[in-house]
Amino acid sequence: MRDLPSRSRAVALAAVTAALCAVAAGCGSSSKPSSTSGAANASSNSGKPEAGKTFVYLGASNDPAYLSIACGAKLEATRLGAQLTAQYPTAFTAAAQTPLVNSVIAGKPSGLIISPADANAMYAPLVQAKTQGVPVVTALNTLTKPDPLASQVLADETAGGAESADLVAKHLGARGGKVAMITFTPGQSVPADTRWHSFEQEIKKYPKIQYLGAQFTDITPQTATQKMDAILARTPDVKAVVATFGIAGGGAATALRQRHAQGVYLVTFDTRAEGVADLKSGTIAALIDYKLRLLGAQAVDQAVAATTGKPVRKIVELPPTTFTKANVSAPAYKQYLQETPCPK
Amino acid sequence: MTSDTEAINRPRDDATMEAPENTIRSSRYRRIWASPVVGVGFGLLALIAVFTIISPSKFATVDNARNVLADASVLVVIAMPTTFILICGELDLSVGSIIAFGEVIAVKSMIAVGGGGIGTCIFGLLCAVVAGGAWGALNGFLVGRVGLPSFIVTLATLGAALGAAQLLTNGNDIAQVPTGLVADVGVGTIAGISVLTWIAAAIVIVAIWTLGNTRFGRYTYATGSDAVASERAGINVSRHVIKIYTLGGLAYGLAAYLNVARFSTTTVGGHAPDALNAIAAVALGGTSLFGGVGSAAGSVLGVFIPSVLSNGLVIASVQPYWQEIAIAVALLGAIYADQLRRRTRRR
Repeated sequence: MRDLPSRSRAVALAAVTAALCAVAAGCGSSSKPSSTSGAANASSNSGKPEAGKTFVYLGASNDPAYLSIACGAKLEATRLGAQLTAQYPTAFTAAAQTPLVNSVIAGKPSGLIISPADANAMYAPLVQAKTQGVPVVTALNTLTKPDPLASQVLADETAGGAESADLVAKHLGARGGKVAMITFTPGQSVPADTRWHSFEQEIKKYPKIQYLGAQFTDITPQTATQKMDAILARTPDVKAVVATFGIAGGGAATALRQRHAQGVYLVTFDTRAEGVADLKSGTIAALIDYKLRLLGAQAVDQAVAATTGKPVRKIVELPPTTFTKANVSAPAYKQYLQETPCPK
Repeated sequence: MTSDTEAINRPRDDATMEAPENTIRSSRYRRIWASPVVGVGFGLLALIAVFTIISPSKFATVDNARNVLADASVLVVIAMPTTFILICGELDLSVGSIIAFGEVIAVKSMIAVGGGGIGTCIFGLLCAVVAGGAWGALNGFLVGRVGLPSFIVTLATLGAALGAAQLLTNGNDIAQVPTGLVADVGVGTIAGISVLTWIAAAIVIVAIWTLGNTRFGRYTYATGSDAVASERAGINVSRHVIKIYTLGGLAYGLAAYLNVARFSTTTVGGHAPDALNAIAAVALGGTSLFGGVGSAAGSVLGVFIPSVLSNGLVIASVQPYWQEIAIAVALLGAIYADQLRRRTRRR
């Protein structure tokens, strides 16, 4: 008020608008850089070639998916007698991740495992890592041009999208019905887009199903609730809805709860805490996710192979896993929920 | 805007310098009839009319209206303190992070007490409101007392509050919300209308009354139109700014609690757009981004224009790519119509 004349205030508003949009597009941000140190006692298996190797994982601190990968990677590194440190940028953007990559390279680790914040913009920094002799393995996200990478450990999102369509078709059976989809604004999330397109391909195989098209939502559950409410108002006889990411699924579940709607078969991706709670209460019928701890462990395995001269698999793709009320409490499934705390 | 309130918006106007309180008081009734609220209100009615004609059996139902109201309620609660802050000539970008922090505190405190009874729920509410208020007080202190620009201060607390929320949760959202809270507040209804809507309505009434009928409200307008003049007129501007931010923080804490009740989880990563949505709604409702002019009722209408549009466009089966464009066009149209109206009034 007193300090900013009106012109600079308008400029300031514009600037913060841009900043906030960037934050939103980057799926939220963490405000401080944080790091978690890996296994301290790395000496027990000193006979093996991987013992004493040091690895770094770069992910995002505010997304349980990346935290699950970090957890799996750390456990696997400890098991092998190696050491892994997880580092998180201040925001999940190429601008914030690039300096972190550079400082990691400067420390000369045995290998770098990274979930790139941007499929194109992270290419140059990772080429840099390779030329400095640090093998790079991507985890969950990857680069458009994978030539600097020793290995890519990915989730098969195409299979996940198809799985969501198959689940819906199986539930509706021979009678079919109307099916809607809620996904992230196109072009901003590769997994959400892949799941969405794959779902649309697969659902065409079922002639009895009338697909109503996709509605786009953002990072807030409120928007997904609004879209779901509007879908229910427009098409009261909608039989099934698929949401391509966890927050959208939570928002859709809230709309169903609010209407006390029965009989809408809701399929969501990601095993976030509220998704699991909705699964147990029956609002969500099925959650599709990937065994992200396994993904983190496999990324470490490939990085270890790359540093010890063993054969490396260039691409590892993990199939989707479907969680239902029936299996979610079983230990074999529970350990792969994103909300499950990492064992120390 | 009447000539009187326009005068308040001109910082060097003599009338404002001499007797800001009387000027504002005398214009109160004219402000109701001649304010931009009327323009935005007609815009909203026009939207509702269009969608009712397009899809009368689906859009214009009691059920749909109830749900649109419930969906917009939390943003209405957020928009009220944002209105005060903008009228006061300040900004608050930290809204989303304070809400994320408040959500974490609400859930953590309820888990700490244990049980799902009413006592636990009220304790959670108090903790969330106090947590929000603390961040608001910090914002207010740094802006009002230390004299830092609110833009920078709230940009800093935007980061700090989010970081604190993530520290407390290790980045994972917590979904252990008492089921009774979700059932009774989150999706509960009183007389067929969502509890959230009733709470939002109560906050709106308090905000309108405070702005229009109390000294606190008059100080808010006066500070926003000219802080130096207000100081000379005997208003303790820095204390007023601290109060506004602190009350804002308390309201954000309430909004955080309502979000937790509604979505039965914290959503630490899901609040980045909150500040922009609130500021956009408040601006759409006729509040000046430069302070001194505005109304709480306008902000309520400003919340509903985008949410009615979004709802109506889906129901009208408009292709989703067009929805964003349609919303943008409608927002610009509403602002432009308001500008035209003001210009004709000024002549």
